[in-house]
Amino acid sequence: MRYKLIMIIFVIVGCFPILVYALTIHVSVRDQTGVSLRGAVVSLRPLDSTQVVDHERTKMIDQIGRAFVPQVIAVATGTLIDFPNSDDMRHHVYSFSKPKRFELKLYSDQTRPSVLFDKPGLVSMGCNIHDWMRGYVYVLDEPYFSMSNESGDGWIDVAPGKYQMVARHPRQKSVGEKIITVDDRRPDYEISIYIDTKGTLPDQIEPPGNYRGYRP
Amino acid sequence: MKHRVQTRLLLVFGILVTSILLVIFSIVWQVTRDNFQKQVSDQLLYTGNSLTRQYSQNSQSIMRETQLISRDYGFRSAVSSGDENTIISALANIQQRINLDRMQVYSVDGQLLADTSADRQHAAILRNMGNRPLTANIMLGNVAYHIALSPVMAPDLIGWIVGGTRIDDVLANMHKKLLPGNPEISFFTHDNNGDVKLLGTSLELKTMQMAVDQYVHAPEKEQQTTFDGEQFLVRSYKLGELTSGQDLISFVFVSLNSAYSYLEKISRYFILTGIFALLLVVASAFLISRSFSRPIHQLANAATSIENGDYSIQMPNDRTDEFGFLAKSFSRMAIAIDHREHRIKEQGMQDTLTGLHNRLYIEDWLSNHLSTNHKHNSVSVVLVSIDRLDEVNYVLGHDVADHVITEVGSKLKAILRSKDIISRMGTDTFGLAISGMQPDEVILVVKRILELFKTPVGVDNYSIDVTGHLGIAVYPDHADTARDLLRAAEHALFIAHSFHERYSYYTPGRDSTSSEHLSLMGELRSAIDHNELEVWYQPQVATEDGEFSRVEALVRWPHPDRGMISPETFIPLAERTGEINRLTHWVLENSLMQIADWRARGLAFQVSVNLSARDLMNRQLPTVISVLLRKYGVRPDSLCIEITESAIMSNMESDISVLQVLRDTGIQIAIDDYGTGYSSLEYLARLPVTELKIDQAFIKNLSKESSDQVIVKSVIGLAQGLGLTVVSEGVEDARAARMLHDYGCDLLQGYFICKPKPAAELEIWFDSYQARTRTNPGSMVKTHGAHKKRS
Repeated sequence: MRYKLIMIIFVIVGCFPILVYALTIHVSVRDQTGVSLRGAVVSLRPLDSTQVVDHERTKMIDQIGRAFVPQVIAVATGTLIDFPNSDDMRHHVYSFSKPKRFELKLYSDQTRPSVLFDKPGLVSMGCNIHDWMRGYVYVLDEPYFSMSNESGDGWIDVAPGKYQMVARHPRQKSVGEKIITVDDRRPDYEISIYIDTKGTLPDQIEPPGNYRGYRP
Repeated sequence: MKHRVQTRLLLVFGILVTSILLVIFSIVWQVTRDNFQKQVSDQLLYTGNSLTRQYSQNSQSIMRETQLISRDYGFRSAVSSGDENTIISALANIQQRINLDRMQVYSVDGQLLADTSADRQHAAILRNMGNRPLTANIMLGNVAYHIALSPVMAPDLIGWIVGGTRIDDVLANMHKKLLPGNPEISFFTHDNNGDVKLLGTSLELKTMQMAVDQYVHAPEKEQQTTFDGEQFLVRSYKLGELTSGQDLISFVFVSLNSAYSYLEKISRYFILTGIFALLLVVASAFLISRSFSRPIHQLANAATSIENGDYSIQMPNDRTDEFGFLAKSFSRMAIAIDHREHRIKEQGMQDTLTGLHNRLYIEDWLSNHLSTNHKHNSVSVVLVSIDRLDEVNYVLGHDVADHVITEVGSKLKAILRSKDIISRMGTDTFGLAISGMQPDEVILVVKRILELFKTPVGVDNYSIDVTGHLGIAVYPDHADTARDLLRAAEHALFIAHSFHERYSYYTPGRDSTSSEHLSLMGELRSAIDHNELEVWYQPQVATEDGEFSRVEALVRWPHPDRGMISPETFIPLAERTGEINRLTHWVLENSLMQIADWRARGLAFQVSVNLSARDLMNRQLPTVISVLLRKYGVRPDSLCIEITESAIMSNMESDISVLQVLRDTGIQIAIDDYGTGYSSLEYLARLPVTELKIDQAFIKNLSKESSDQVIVKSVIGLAQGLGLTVVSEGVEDARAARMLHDYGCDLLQGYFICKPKPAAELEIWFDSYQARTRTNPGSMVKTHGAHKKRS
C-alpha cells in the first residue's frame, strides 16, 4: 500500500511534465528470465536533444521500523534528501558510495539532517547499527526516470524523441539498456535487466524478528 | 640327602607358586591391558570426535571473527576507499583484537586488495564461489589455513575479507591442550602428487612424515605404533577438504604410556606381591622341609650309629607329632636292639653246658682289657685241661662227662675272685683270666687248682679222679695281644702235657719245644723212611710151664744225636700228627718179616703188635694186614693185635667191625692195659678179642697191695670165664709171678722174665732160656707149682 501511495505520488509528480509534453510511455521491466521486476529504476537519456526537466529537489527517506522508507529512490542530481527518524531508536546511516559518502547519526526524530546528492550514481546506504537496513539512492542526470511497480510496470512522461533507456536494479549484474524512439504510436516498451538470481546478497542479511527488509 | 629333599620341596613349591602367579599375572595383565587399551581406544575415539567438533567450532570462531571484521565500520570505510595501505592499516588495527593469523581483503570482482602476509597468495577459491560467507581449508603457498570468507557489506557488497588461522604446530598444540588427556595431534594433507604432507604436529618428530604413510593406507582405522620409545594408539580423522580437493586429515595419537605406566605399576605391585608370596611359600616350604628333614636326618644319623653298633643315640623328644613318635619308637628300638644284642652276645659268649663264658668271651674280654689296660697291670691267662675226659665220655657216658666238666668249672670258679674271668675254651679246657696279680699270687692260684684235682669228682654213684694240666701265660711279659696271650697259654699247656708237668709257664725259650716237636716229627718220618727205627721184642712166657712162644713187638728209636727216644715221647706225637699209621705199618711189616725170619729158622714165635686208636679208624687196616701176611707168608694166628681199651672206646661200633674182620682172618686180638681205663665188662663179651693184658699198674705192686691182688685175681677169673687168654704185664719179681701163677694167669711179661730186646739179642736170650729150662725144667713152674700147691 505504501508503495502504491508512493507510486501515485510519483505518477502525480511525473504527470506534471507530461501535461506539458503530453506523452506517457509504459515500460515493462523484466529480469533475464522474463519475470517482471519491481523496484527497477528506468531512465531515459535523450540522444538527439538536451532536455531539462524540473524535478522535485527535496526528497525524504524516513527510518520506519528499522528500515529505509522508501528503500529505493531515484532522484535527480542535486536533490536534497531529508533523513528523519520515525523509530524510537538511533540509526547510524552511512554511505561509502562514491557519488555520495556521508554519515548520519540519527537520533530519534530529534534532527532531520539533509544530504545533497550532487553527483550522479548509485549511493548505497546502510545503518551501522542495523546491518540489514539497506537503502539505495539512484542519483540520475537523465531528465526522465521512473521506477517499476510490483508488476514491473513503470510509466514515464516523456517528450517524443530518441532515448537511451537504461534500467537499473540493486540486484543487477549488469544494467539493461536499449535505444528507443518515443512517438505517439508506440507507448509500450519492454526492458530486461540481468539480475543476480544466484546471489543471496543482499537478501542474506535479514532483520531479526518481524522486521522485513527490502524485498525486490 | 637332607638337601635333596629340601631342594625338591622348595623346587616343587616354588614352581607351583610361580606357575600360579604367572598364570594369574598373565590373566590380570591381559585383562588389564585389554581394558586399558579399550579405554585408550575409547579415549582415542572420543578425542577424535572432540577434535572434529573442536575443529568445526574453530571454523565458527574464525568465521565469527572474520565477520566481525567485515562489519567493522572503520574497516568497511577503509575497504570502500579501495586503498591498500588504508586497508592494511585498518586490518593491523583490528588484528590486535582478534585471533587470526592472516587476513586478506578482496574486491568484489575478486582482486586481492590487501594481505597481512607479504607473499600475497591469492585465495583461488574466491573465483568460483558465490556471494555467501563460508569457511574452508586452503593452501596459501606452502601453508595451510583454516579460513573464513566473509563479504564486506556497506551495506552492499564492497569486497571480501578472508580471515584464517594457520594449520600448523601451533594449532596442533592448541588442540592438544584443549583435548582431555592432551593427545598428540598431527595435521596432514596430500600434495598434488598424492604424497602425504605434514602440516603441523604437536609431536616433535622428524619421522612423522615417514611414519604417517602407513596410516594413510588404512584411514579411520585404529593403529598402534611407537615413536621415540613411546607407544601410541593412532587414528586418522578427516577434518575436511582443502579447497584444492585434497583431504585434510588429522592423526590423533593417544599415548599408551600412561596406561602402560599404570599397567606397569600394577605389574610392579603384582610382581612385588608375587615375590613376597613366593618368598613366603619358599620360606614356609623351607621351614616345613627342614622340620621334616631335620628329624629324618637325625633318624638317619641315629640309624647309622645303630649300624655302627652305637646304641646310645640321643633322639630329640621335644616333638609331639609323628616325628616325635617315630623318634621315641626309634629310641625304644635302639634300646631293645641293644638289649637283645647284648643277650645274643652273652649267649654267644656263653658256654651252654657250664653256664660259664666261652672262648669268644675271654678273647673279647682280653682284647678289651689288654687294649684299655696299662702295661703295669698284668693279666695272667691260665689254661686248665682235664685229662682223659674222652675216656670218661666213652666209658661213663656224656652225662657223666658233662657233669665232670660242670663240676670242675664250678670248682675253678669258686677259686677265682669275682673280677677274674673263667670260660670254657674247648671240650676239656678252661681258660682263666686273672688280672692284677703278682706272679707269686698266681702261683698260689695254680697250686689251689692242682690241689683241687686231688679231690675226686662225685657223679651219681661214681667217684671219678680228675687230673689236669695247666698252661700259664702272663701279659705283658709273654704277649701283647689277647690272641698271642692265649696262644702262649696254649703253648704252655702243650709244654705241660708234653713234658708231663702239672703246670707250665710260657717261656719264650721253650717256645722251641714246639719246633723241637716239629723237627722230631720230621725226623720220625725220615727214621721210618730210612728204617732207622728198631723193633724190640719182649717175651711172654706161659705161667704154667714157662714155655716161651710169644713176644710183644715194641718200637724203639735210637736217635743218632739224642740217644734212645722213649716211645712215650714220640708215639703221642705220631698219633697227633697222623704219622702213627705209617709207624704202625712199619712195625707190622718188620714184625712179620721177623716172624717169617724166625720161622725159617724153626722159631715159631707169635708176635703182638700195638695198634693205636687211629689205626683202627683206618678201614683199610684188615686189607693192609692181610696183604702183609701174604707178602711174608705168615699165618694169621702168628700175629696178635694189641689195642688199648681207650682206643676201642673212641669209636666202638666201627672198631668192633674192623676187629671182627681181623679176627675172622685168624689174627689174635688182645686188649692192652686192661684196668687202667674205665673198663666195661660188658664190652669184653662183645669184642672179638682173644686175650686180655692186665695193666702193669696192677702188677707192679701186686705183691704188696692186697687191693691189686683182688682186682687181678677177679680179672683173671673173669677173663678165663670169658675164655680169654690173660697176660700180665710188668711182672718184676718172682713173688708176683708166683701169685699170678696161683691166680691162673696164662702168660707173664715183664722185667722179671726179660726186658725188651732186639731180635738178635732175644734169640741169644732164648737159647739160654731154653737151656735153663732144660737143665732146670720148670724153674718157674716149680715156684709156681709150689705156690699153687700151697694155695
